[in-house]
Amino acid sequence: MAVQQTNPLRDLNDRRLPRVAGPCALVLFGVTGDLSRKKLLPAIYDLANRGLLPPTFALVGFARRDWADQDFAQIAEESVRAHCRTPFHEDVWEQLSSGMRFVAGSFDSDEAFIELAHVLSDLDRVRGTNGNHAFYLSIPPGFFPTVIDKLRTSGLSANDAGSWRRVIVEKPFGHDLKSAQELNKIVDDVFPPGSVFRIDHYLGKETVQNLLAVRFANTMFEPIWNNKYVDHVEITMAEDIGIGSRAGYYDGIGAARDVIQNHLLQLLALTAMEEPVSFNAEQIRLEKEKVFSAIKLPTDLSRHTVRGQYSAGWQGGEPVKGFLEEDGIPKTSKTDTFAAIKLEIDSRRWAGVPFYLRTGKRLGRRVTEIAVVFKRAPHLPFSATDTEELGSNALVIRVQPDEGITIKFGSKVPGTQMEVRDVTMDFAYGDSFTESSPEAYERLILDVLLGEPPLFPRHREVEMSWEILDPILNHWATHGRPDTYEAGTWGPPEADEMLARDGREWRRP
Amino acid sequence: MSMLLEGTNASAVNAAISVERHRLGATSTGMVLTFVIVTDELSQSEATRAATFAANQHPCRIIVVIPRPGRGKPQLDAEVWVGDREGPGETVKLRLKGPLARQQASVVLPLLLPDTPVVVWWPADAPAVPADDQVGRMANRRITDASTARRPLADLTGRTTSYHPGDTDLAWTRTTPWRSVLATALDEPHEQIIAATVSGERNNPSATLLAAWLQARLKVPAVVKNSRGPGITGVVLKTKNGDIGLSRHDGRLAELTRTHGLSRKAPLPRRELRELVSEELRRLDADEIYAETLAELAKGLGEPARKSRSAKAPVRSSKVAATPASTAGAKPIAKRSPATRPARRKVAAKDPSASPAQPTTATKAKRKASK
Repeated sequence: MAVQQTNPLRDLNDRRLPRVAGPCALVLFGVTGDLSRKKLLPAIYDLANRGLLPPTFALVGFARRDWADQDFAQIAEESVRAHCRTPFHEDVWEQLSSGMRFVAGSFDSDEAFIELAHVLSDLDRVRGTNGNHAFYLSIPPGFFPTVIDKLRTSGLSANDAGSWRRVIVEKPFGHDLKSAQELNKIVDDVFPPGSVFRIDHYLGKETVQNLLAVRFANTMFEPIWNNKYVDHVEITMAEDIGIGSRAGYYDGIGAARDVIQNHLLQLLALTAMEEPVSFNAEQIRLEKEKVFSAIKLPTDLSRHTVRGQYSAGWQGGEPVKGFLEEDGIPKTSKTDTFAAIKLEIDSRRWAGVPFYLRTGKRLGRRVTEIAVVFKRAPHLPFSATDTEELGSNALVIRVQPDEGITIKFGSKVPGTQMEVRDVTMDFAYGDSFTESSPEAYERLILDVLLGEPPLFPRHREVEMSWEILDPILNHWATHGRPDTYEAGTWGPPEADEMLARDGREWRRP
Repeated sequence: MSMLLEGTNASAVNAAISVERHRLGATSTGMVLTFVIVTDELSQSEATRAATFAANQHPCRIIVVIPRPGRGKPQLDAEVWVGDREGPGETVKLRLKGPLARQQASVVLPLLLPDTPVVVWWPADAPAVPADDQVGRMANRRITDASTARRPLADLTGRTTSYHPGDTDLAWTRTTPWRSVLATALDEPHEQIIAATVSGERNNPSATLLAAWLQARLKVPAVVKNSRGPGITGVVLKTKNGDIGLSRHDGRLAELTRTHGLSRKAPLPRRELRELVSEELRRLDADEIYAETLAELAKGLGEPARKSRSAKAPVRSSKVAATPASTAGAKPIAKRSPATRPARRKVAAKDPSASPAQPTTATKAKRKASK
């Protein structure tokens, strides 16, 4: 039988045709969790609704619930209806749910995995998933070894030629270098490196990808993207919420491990990296690793790092509890809910330009941004009073909310006097392009199913970022307690002092 | 809130937009293109609604040009909306009366946003050569809609000779979901395809384009069969060992079948005008696949493609151009008489723009560079 290899209906020039995932089944471990219900299931529906999943797509839920397939489909429908981004269509749902299965069992049950293998081979036959299986581990990392081991022993991790297996893991990727290495070993022993997808949902945001477009598709930014013009870079991820019901996870982890190790260091790498030879996974990864290997920690960690804990206060007009009063947090907890660190990069481009990273809970408002702050003009041909109001030029990449870019520069105030003042010029991402920005998870899930990993950190990057953070965490563990800050403010006064020592101040994001 | 300006001119309209914008406190624009719609009173309201929907994703200035030719003095009446419920951008409706109806460019030109792309759309009665039209000449992208023409298939055949890079037709846009599902079907292993049949409503230009696309890509004869609709109702790809079929009879849900395989359902809803327009605004570069498809259509459907491919120059039968409606027939058409060939070539040489089979600008540029 003459089977055709290439698809004549596909053409790179045909840009109307979307990239559609091939036949496959996605197995969702931890399908009853918050993330599954609020993000993953709706994202899968939105993909189907946009016609980006093949008709053969199948979804298998795995959890310790006494559910039948229909129960699972019904629960899934409820969460999709509540959280989907695109309109709900019965036709689409009918097609999607006809490929939904549920396997009941605990993560260490051999029978459950035998049942799972059975369900998957059945789907290959009746649904046509062609032996392509992706395993999404939306479960606490403590269960990874068990699940991965069961996947191996039940033969689910092995694939025939012509089909694939992929595994998707969520942060946290360990809590220090050692645990990250152990975790990586467990996963890499069973799955080849190219089949392991570590999800950092920040990297799926349109704006983060746009950062690379802005830097490398334009001529006007790259010439000033260096220590000759840039004074410093601030990368902020602030949340206005507290830890909520995540006390069990959060206590002992803290802001630095939860956010800086993955999101902020990835943003730093994308901001600082050199131009990749091409826009493919391998080349981008190489450039990011170069940045990580050139990062230098401050010699005096107590002067250039700050951690904090929020105390009771008023957040946006509502009284809120302090961290130590939250349910499930011991009164003696030293966990940081705010972390700010200064890093430098030893390279010709960045020598002498500090990168300030900060993150925290219960801060002024929810915002994530990268601010590249420029040096002041070497000479101002105006009188001092004319430029009193003039700050530094800045280019701010707003990651969320209001994805977009802001440029801040000086302009004359209309009137007879010469007075120069800061003005901003905004590019709002959401409304300037035709597709409303897809939810990050849609993008990432589709990338996994297509097998295109440019935005997924590889295990070397994860280990390198722990190498950067570990000395700071060790220093904190042995030196005193976190500083306190009132909930609803921009962090402890010590964070402002940290920048004041360098003659700078934080931008109000 | 709308502002009505009677007996006005373009600079007064510009001033009115500017005043409205300041009144709303929105001084920055952030608009990415100017969207010109040339239409009549009959279709202007639906077209404006579709454009406004698209503007939600693509902030733009919408200029609706409504020519109202007739006797009497030339007069320009304008209605201006900024912001509000009409969407984030600006909408200007222009009624060009009397002799002014034929001077559309003079009114549109001063209202174009600086240094951003211009898209023009004729919801009905598009000019024979859109790129030669006075408004079309200013545009980067020209959208026609063969399905609204009095004789849709004849209109489509006209497009095969009038094509310029940047032209596109909503009949082509309507095929995208079909093309996507078909491409997905062929992502899976399959036997060699030997023929293709598209069924669609009578006079449906999208069915014809889909067949031409299949014929161009698969290099096998493709034909169109009439069905009761709505729209395109099915595609059958014939292989030596059974068929791959995709059928949709309710305009919503399609079924993908294989003679020796599983059958599956895929949502394939007919799309509304506003969704088609949004798709058109997504990409503003020349649609090379559309050009190829038109070129294939010009050669004739149902043609054993290999034969024409082995010929030195792309050949079009004058018979096709003369009896364009026949392209919809199920039987193979376009019998070629060798005598007509030299004549056609001469015409093509005189007017290089006339043939979509001519090298695209990209290949032209490449050639230049290699010199």
